[in-house]
Amino acid sequence: MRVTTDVFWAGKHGSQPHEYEDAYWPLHRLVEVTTDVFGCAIADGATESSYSRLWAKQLSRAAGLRLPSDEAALRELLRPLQKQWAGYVAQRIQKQALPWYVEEKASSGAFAALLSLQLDNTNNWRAVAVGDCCVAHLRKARLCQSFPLTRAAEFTQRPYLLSSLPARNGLLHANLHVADGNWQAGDVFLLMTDALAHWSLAEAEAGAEPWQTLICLDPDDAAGFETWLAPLRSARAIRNDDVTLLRVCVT
Amino acid sequence: MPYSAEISRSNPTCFLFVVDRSGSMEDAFPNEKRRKADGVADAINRLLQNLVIRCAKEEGVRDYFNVGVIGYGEKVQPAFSGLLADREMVPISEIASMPARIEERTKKVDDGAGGLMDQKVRFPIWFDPVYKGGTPMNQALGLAKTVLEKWITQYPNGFPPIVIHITDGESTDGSPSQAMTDLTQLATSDGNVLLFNVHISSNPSAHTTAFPDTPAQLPDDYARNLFNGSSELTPFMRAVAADQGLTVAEGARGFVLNADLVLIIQALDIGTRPSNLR
Repeated sequence: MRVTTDVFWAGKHGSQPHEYEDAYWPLHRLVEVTTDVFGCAIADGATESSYSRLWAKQLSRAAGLRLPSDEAALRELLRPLQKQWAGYVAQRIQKQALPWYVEEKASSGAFAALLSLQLDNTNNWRAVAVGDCCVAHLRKARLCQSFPLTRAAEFTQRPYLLSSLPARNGLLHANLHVADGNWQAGDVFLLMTDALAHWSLAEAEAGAEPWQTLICLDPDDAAGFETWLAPLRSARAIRNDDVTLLRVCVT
Repeated sequence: MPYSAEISRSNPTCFLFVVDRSGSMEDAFPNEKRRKADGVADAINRLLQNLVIRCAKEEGVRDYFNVGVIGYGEKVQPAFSGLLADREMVPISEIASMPARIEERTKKVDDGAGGLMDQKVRFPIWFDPVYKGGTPMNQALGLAKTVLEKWITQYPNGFPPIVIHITDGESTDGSPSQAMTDLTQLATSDGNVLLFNVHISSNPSAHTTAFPDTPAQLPDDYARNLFNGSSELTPFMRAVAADQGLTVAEGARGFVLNADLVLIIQALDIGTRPSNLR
């Protein structure tokens, strides 16, 4: 199995690059890498929580390296990450004399959506999702499956998200989604955070060809993705949010 | 679609509280020992704290909101205490950095062994209880209109301002109907100003009512007037209300009658969650 990955990302319009709170794994582009098992992930840190960029990074890295295939595996994966997150935040707060609201905010924890995908050389794939990051499985530029959400109308403004506080993940069993299937040489998987996933499903429902557009994005044109996004954002076809696309091609 | 503007630092929204500080606010809440003025002040301080925390990120507080408080009773004027006194509209980052004082209070928390224990918490104060004079509601709503006209000139495309009016009494300077209409006719390109009325009624036949879609069950003309002047909840606010276990029909108004403190806090939360932040 040979895998090629490309990442496209853009922060919210009007924000600073360091305020981008999505995350992805692998961090670097892979070109025709031969492997028996390939894992990847994206995460979307919540704007309304603090230290969510750190939390999204931790989640995408850990779930990209090892797919948590059920609730028990996900809880096991979360445990050390939650400790690390809490340790880092406590250290930051202790080190600096921070104002009253920083500690108060951090005590509510960080939140993020997560989508993790694993492919193996027996032509199987498996994906796990919590929240509204999506993967589109494409064959010959046509959609085989969208997971976990399948229609644009299913996106809400208040998805269930993974928390850095164990007590806040009580309803995980009801909000953890798992899917699997088979891949063929030439298939493409598009891992997308919610704004782009919503746009692509809405476009497809309207009879347009979003998949072809996303397959054709040029990974060597770093500014091209933002240039492509700008008019869609202005027209409010895509919500002004952090946008991430991790494109995986397998042969 | 109205009420869909993004709320960002370059395009913030605003909350304006209009609070009755008349003499009758010294009375206790029905079936409680606490003075209404004290309970309302606590609810507003807690809400301001929540708004600051919602906008707080690791690097500081993002100015998604501007906030104003108008008090009316003996005087009609901006009602922040401390360094923010006399300010009509204040960015949330300045609210964060300038509470009048920070008190220490205790709250009950889980002790991890099946019981409760007292925990000391910091409680910032921006707004103090005052109860003196009449209920010049028209004058207060007029000042609110002036403040919001200025804000709208500055942010003509912002998510529309949300006004939360808390009162326990009847207006002493005439019916507030026209003043409420004038206020809710102000608009940004994203929709009209939203007005919530929270009424702590002392009418013995007033039952607690939250977000009704009809005035049919309301006990008197005064409550019906406030209902009629209240805006319809946006779909997002209806979703927040439903999340909090309240039944809200389409067409439900931002009106709460005979509110106890819990309901006031709920109404404040629903009224100040216009949509997700960007």
